[in-house]
Amino acid sequence: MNNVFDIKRFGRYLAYDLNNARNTFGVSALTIGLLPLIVLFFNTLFGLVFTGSVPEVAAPVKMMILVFAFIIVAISGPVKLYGHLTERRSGSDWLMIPASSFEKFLSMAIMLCIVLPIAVLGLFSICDLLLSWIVPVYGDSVVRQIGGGLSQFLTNGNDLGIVFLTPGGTIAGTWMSWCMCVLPFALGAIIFNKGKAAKTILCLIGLNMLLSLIAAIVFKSFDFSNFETFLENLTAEKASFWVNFLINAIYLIVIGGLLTALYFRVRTIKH
Amino acid sequence: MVEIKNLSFSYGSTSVLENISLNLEEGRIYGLLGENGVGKTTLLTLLCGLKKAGQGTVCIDGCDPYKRQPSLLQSVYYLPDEVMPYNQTGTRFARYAGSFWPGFDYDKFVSIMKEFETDPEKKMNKMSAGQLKKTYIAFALACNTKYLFMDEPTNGLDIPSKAQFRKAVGLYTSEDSTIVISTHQVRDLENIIDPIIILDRCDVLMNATIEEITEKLFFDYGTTLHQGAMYSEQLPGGFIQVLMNTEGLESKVNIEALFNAVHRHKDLIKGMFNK
Repeated sequence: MNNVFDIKRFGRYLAYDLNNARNTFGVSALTIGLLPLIVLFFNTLFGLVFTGSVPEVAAPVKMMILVFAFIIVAISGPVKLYGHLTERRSGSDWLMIPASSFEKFLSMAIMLCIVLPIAVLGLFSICDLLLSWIVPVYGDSVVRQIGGGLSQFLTNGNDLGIVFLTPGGTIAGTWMSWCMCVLPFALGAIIFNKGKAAKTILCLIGLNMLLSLIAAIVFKSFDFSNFETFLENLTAEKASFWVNFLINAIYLIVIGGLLTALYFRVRTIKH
Repeated sequence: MVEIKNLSFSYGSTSVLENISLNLEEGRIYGLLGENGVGKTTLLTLLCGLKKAGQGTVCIDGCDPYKRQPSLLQSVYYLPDEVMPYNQTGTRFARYAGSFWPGFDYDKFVSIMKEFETDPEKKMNKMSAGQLKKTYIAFALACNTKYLFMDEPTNGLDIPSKAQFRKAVGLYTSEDSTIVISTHQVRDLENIIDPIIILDRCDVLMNATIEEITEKLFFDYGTTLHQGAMYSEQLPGGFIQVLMNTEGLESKVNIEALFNAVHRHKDLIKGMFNK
């Protein structure tokens, strides 16, 4: 028997994980997916109370709701899905399931990085698109607006000298940004016993301060005397390439580091 | 076969188990007894690989349980004292979780649940503590694992359920299984556990079969008080006394009296049973 990875066993474990996710985060995901409806309700209510008419839901509000939905999911999702692993009762149940640590880790990574955003975005999109078709005051669909913007960016992106993997600019980049957000909270969820999200945020703030300090010290030691010449020789294409390369390299290193930490934590949890 | 060699474990600076060696044989139902805080649960969790041994080794069929290899996990089930009330029905839980244990028998789970008079279609988080415990016991027995470790399984069970539990353990465990039951409720399990392991702080005071115990100790249920008794307790209508069995008399073990006798004469008992 392969004690590291067996595709049949992994499939069974993923199904088990999905079933648990449905039980623990299903209602929350549904509520977050229905946020456009909730926003429409309050928009109608306040419009009728204060102006006597129902205004169209403003596009920035819808955009803000989408961002808010993803922040909520990135923070609460990992805690709801895997926070119980540090608890003795369900944690020992989980550890005793006959699947390897690698399979458990892989399933966790798939759930957090792929299933969770797709499920929430899917529910949100369905609700958003349906409302935009059925309810005129809801206005245009925010998902369609973003999709339009994205396709325009992908078509004209090369004119700006931007390579494919620009974080925040393409699907791959957006997905990497999502992973960067959700993985620290996943790590916090299986490390801290209590106050998982709050302690993770505090750790991130602390880490940020430390890295800023290190960066400041490093930059201070640099010799900038030739910087002007360097800038003069730098073409837009070159600059774009190096910026993209650096940003993507940092993203990949951080995500790789977080996944490695997650794996080792899964392997060494004790109860 | 479970082999524990020179096992030590501590929580920070507090030592719980010290240099413990034990062998657990196949086809036995071990009763793990001890006062609060002596390390019964710790020992069980070390056997399952939920904790890492500080020093010494724990081996189950030649594997280190802490590595949590699926091949070993498939032959082990651990029932903790407190169980998780999942937001799903007992049948759904059994179907999903049971698929990981090759020996899992869903029909067996349903029939044990029927014997426990518990509805498997009820959501686990809506069950009472006793019903939830019975669901987990049914699941543990239906997994048909070679090694079954249970921590206080009768806690939270009502009187009829305790009898049902004893019956289920007798009926639904295979003859080559090694079962370890940690308990304070010795009367609930008096007729099913054999051998008995008595743990003391950082030590194993006794690991002996009922036959070995009755060979060396005599349990007197008479009305005459013996001066040389290792332990005596007045009961309605007489006494229960534990005496050295110098005449080779037969008697029925009273685990509570045995436990108290062992605790009063630790060194003597250790010497008697470790020979």
